[in-house]
Amino acid sequence: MPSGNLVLRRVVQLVPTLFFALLLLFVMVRLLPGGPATAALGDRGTDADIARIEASYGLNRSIAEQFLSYLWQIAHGDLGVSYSLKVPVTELVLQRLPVTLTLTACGSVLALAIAVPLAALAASRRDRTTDLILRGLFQLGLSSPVFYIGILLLTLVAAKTGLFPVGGYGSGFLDNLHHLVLPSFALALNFAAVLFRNLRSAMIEAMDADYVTFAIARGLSPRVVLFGHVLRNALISTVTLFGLNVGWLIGGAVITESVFAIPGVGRLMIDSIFARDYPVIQGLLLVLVLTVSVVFLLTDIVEGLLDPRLNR
Amino acid sequence: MERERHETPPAVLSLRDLTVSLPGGAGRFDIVRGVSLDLRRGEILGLVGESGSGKSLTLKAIMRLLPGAMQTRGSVIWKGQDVLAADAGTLRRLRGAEMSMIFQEPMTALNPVLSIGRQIDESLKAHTALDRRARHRRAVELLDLVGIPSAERRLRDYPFRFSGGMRQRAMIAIALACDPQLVLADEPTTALDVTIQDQILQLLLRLRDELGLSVIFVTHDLGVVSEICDRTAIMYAGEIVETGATRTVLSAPLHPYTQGLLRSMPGAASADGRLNAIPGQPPQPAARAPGCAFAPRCAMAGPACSVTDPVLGPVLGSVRAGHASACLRATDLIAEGGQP
Amino acid sequence: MSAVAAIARRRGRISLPLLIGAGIVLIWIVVGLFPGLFAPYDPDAFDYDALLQAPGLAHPFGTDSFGRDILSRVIWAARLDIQIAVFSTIFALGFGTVLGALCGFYGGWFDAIVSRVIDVVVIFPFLVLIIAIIAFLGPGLFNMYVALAAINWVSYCKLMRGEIRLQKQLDYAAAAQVLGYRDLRILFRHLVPNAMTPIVVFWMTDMALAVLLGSSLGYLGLGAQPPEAEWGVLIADGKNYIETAWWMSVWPGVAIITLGFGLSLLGDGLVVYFGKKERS
Repeated sequence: MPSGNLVLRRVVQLVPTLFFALLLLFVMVRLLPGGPATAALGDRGTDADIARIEASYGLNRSIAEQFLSYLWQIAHGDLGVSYSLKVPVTELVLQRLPVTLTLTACGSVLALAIAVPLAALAASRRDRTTDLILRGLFQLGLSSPVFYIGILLLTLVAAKTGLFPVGGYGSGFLDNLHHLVLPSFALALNFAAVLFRNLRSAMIEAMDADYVTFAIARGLSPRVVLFGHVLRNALISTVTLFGLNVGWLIGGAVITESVFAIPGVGRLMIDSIFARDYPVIQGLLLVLVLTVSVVFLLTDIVEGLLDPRLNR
Repeated sequence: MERERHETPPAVLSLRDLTVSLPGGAGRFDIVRGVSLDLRRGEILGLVGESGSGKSLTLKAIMRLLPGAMQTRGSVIWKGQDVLAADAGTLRRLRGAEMSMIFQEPMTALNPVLSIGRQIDESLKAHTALDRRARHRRAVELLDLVGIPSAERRLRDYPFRFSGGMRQRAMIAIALACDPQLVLADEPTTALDVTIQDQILQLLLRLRDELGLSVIFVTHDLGVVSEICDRTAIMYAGEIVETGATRTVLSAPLHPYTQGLLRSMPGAASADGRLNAIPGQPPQPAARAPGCAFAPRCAMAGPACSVTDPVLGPVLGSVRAGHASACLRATDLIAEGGQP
Repeated sequence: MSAVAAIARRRGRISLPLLIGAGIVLIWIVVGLFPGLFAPYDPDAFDYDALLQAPGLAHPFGTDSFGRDILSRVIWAARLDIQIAVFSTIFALGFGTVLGALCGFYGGWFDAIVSRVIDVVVIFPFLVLIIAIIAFLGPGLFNMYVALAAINWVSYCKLMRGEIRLQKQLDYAAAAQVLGYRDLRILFRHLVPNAMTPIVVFWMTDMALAVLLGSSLGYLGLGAQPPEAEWGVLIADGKNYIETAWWMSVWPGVAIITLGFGLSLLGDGLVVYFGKKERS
């Protein structure tokens, strides 16, 4: 079992990182040209108009004051108000984030479901035809951009067969899942390729290890050897890899949402960028950073569960 | 029949012409060549050679643990049954329940992320019908047997929490979980300190006596051999070059290679205090010349040695029963008194 | 067989992935350098008599809604996408390796500060952060390069830092110090060259990723801007015609996949060639 100590240590390590992440976010938004006033008024606003709007957003105070009040607001769950939609950012995020998280989760599960059995197959047929074909296919998968796979799926599957909707999110849990089938596939393929490569080599390493020879020499069934030893040990590195790649996965989800017109944070983000809606961009980045932190923490805990050596 | 059983108990394990080959540039080449051995019940047989001599491969071949690219020929008869011809199910029942293996490095042979108790338990699950509590009792009993203190508590520990010697004891406990009668030990003491090494050897001797184990003990250390092996077989370049009772082989060797090994032991340094290493290197399996494999390094080699491949057999004039050598000039060695 | 001989034999081995990867990449580089030699048409020439033509003899890859030849556009776009692969990575590589080398060599407070910065950068989802930076700077290729240089140095820095720390423990580093060489000379003349292998291997993979990333941003309208011909932009152009004129989107995608495939094979082949164990 991971000791409470380990988890606590990780949390303590996260605090300064998060603080600096917030500072970075804040500075990024304040220092860059083309403020909200320009966004709201275009190039036609007079200096007085700009000053009035900036004052209304509190932009005329000192940077330090602004940062403190920014922190204060965040602590109260207040991420500001969207310039373009005139809605509290928190409300927008709470509405959109679950969609993105569901998509990411479905994509991850699907990627695992694809990668684990095929990696086991490839590792057990090392350097033979099956292995070479699988490696080639996944290498291609690794080189296929998410948006391209998405478009192909839309045309070849959704439009041709009519089995799946051509976009959107639908309403109701089952309908949502139905809408997420193809997007999850598009998102999963890249990640499955990453997992496959890693798992295959980790499993080969385990198969060559003495402890697996010992397990076979003890007459354990192939099933126990595979699941209890080879896969059991190889999965530890997969968990690490999952933590490292969650950022990529969320990035992939942003693109997928854009292709399939799914109303998640990705779409919101792209829309906000073209509208120069800084509070929304800032709020989304913040929420995604928090999400990544939580996943980091979870993978640490799972790694601790799987590998007792980490709790020394 | 009756009388024969009194004199020499029948062999439980017989290797006949065991050959392991590997695919190479032009066809296959042999890395273990025609190994024949008999192991009797309750006997500890030492298998001695330099690294690369094929002793570990022989051991793995007996339990069919070699990778698929290596081909095994000949026969391995365990209690009347040919292991090399056994189907997958039979093989699995033999492994662990009747024959077991101990490795050199417990740190890599034990699964680092599973507790010792769990690793004993999965062996018991595979071969017995015991329920959970009976398996737990058996596990405690096993740790007691191999001399690990506070067994109940240590079952929950992971391998990295054990010291080197304790870890080796834990591995022996796991290997013995299902009462195998044959133990194949692959340099089980090489990685240990000398004092710990001795403790493990004493443990193996005790277990042999208590449980009636038959053991093949692979090592490169003649000191270890003299301490625990009843009989010894010397391997060179994939072949057995000499075999006999340990005392006979070590005191009156009938193969120049064995003599060389004995001379090169640290305790046997020559008068000027220098070690007497055997000159030259063992041949590469792919580049074997005809004749005796040891001939290029052998001070006694005559013209016939690089032409005729010697066969392992009793030496004319040797008085010791069961002493065999694969040397064309073995008789000359007797004439010299067989002294190294 | 001695282990040393086995390793020595493996180093310098030209493997199949290396050959295929290098072949594909070389072809694309030649195409990208001299598109005029390969493109049958002017990529920007409208032809109102040949709108949305399916692939055929006159237009092997078909034409788009303005009658432009898709094959010629894909060929001309190669120039831009190869530029993206190089420019998206080279600045991060330069800055990251130098910084990583200094961190690994000197350690101390400088290393501690850089490590903290890396922690902060890593906690942001990579693509989202890139998108956000481009959002603030404004869409376009130049700003995309700036964003990538600002973020991606982290990977090279971490890699180089680890390598230098390993190299420092080896005997020859101590020997150089004993000989009285100046620190920076030891670092950049002796340690860094020896640590470049994993950097070069990672660079190949990173360029493959950059091609995917650049085309993705082009597709989203954040990278290359129309009418510039870039594979992602071409796919976005064809998206609205996907059901009537699939060839508009499909061919640029094939181009992306082949270049990415070639680069990552090349990376794998180099791992074998340099005889180093693969890292994850």
